[in-house]
Amino acid sequence: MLSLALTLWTVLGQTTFYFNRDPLQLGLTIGIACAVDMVLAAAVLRVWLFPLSAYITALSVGLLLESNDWRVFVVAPIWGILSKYLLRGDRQHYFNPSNFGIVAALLLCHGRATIAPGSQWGADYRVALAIMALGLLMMVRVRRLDLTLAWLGGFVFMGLVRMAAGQGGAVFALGPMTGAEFMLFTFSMLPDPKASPITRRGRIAWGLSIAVLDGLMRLAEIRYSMFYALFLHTALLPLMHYVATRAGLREADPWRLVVLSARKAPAPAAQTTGA
Amino acid sequence: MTDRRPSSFRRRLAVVAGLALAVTAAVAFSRVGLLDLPSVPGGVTLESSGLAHLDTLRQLDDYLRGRTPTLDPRVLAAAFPGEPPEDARLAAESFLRALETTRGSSAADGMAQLEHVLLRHSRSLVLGNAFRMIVFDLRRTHLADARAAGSLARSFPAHLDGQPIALLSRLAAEHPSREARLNLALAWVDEMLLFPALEIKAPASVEAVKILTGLLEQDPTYVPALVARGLNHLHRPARLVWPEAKATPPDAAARDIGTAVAIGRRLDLGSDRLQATLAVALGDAYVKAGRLGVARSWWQIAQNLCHDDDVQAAVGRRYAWHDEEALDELEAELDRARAHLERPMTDLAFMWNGS
Repeated sequence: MLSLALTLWTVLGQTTFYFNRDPLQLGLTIGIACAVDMVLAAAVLRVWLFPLSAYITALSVGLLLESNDWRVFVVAPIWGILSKYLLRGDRQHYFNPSNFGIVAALLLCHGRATIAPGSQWGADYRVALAIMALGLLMMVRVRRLDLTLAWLGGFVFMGLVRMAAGQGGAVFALGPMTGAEFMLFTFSMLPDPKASPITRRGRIAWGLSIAVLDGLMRLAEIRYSMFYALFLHTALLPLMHYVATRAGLREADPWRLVVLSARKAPAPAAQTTGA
Repeated sequence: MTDRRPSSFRRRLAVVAGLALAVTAAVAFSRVGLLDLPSVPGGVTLESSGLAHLDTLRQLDDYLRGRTPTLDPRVLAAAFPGEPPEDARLAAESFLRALETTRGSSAADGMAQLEHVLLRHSRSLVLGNAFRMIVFDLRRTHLADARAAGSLARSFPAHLDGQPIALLSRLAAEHPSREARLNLALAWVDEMLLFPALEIKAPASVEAVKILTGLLEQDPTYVPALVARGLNHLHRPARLVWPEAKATPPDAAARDIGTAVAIGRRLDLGSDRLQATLAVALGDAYVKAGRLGVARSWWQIAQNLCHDDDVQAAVGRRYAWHDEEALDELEAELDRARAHLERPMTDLAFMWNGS
């Protein structure tokens, strides 16, 4: 469903909504990501897979990254896909591959990679509202509406805090919500089921926490803050899993496990099933 | 009892969260509003803003540039306010002939004719602008020819020497209309463009800002002067230490251009392209003020306002700037803009054409 939505998004973006992405750049990221994913799956997992996840990663990376250097569009999807195979626990990866690829490109290709200007549908708020509504409907289907709403609510609140602090007007603080960059992040990266908590409370806390960190970074004028905020949160997942294992807890919801282990809960604790 | 506790807690939590949100929103909107633009000075009108009849100004400009063969009487009435239609028509025709003469057979005769018409129609912004632009073009060509011949001397033929500042100074002294004074200030900026050496650029900029400040003290909502002064502040090298820099706060450009944008929004004026051009300039001004986030927000607004390739490319280039290099990149971008001598940035046609 996400891959279909992203494909439609890309086609509309290229034909109607002024995304202005170079088709070669998109083709390169898709080709590289899919090839690397298939090769690694065959080599590491001994399976032949249809690289749908890599396709989604590649579209996000290709749409969001901007560079005059074609090598950025080679290494970013490779880093994203590699993170799936190399930075993982027993059952799942820790990082959202698109987010990992983008953050790695921003940090490691400093001076060469940036995020594309964010608002490509010509200030037409109706398009932004329609995409927001469709995105939220999709979140209901993938059971991540709570996480998304927590993130959106937190973002609005932190935007108002930044306005109250005199950082800029509403268009500056809340305007990014109408942009393609924000929509892709909110409906494609953030709700990654494998890199987000599985209980409702955990997801709400996760979304709010990312929004607060993003808001604080924006207050400090740190660019690309939401990508960094998600990256830092997912980077904590291995630590949470480690704490949980040390406490003798079974992996269920990292947030819940950290709280429980802090309270020195008797091991083994009951496993939550998630919401 | 045990069942009611969580729901009562949640209700209280929701009330507290709602109150916090409402209070923060109230403080936020009362402090900065939608765009955090400077407040618009009181009493602003279409006439006071200098943005009335932009379309008629464009049509007169098109006529003087030879893009349209005739002029509608309504255009003449608006472009030459208070003058009989016949006088206005004769003025436009004489000025066009003088421009052709200046470009063609005898530049000196043409200049004399231009001077004659201009002194009689000092309030015409379009005529003053056309005069500045043709003098700029002749001086640019002369300098290029001299350079090609290996000469470094700055001497001009008599009809170009000291122009257009000499005539526009006389015009501003004899007929101190805001249009004449604006063109005089821009003539000093023309000097900066032709002679980018600091010892010429710096005093020329100071002179231009002095004239524009005097103009804005009398007429604080005159948008062309606000934009001109804002661009002057914007184009001053940020790291240059000079006495005037002390008196100029880092957000001077953002304040002037921001006020111009606020007036344009209040009066709902200007083409999408003009608004996008000003939004890019305002973003640039915020880079100078050290507010990069707000700068990007304005560039994004420009990107949304106008989908022309050059606006999109200008925004794309700016988005590629990294925080630590943004000021240097901006200065390099502004240097390139000033070096576009075939289409000088002081040509007021951008107001009525939007580009």
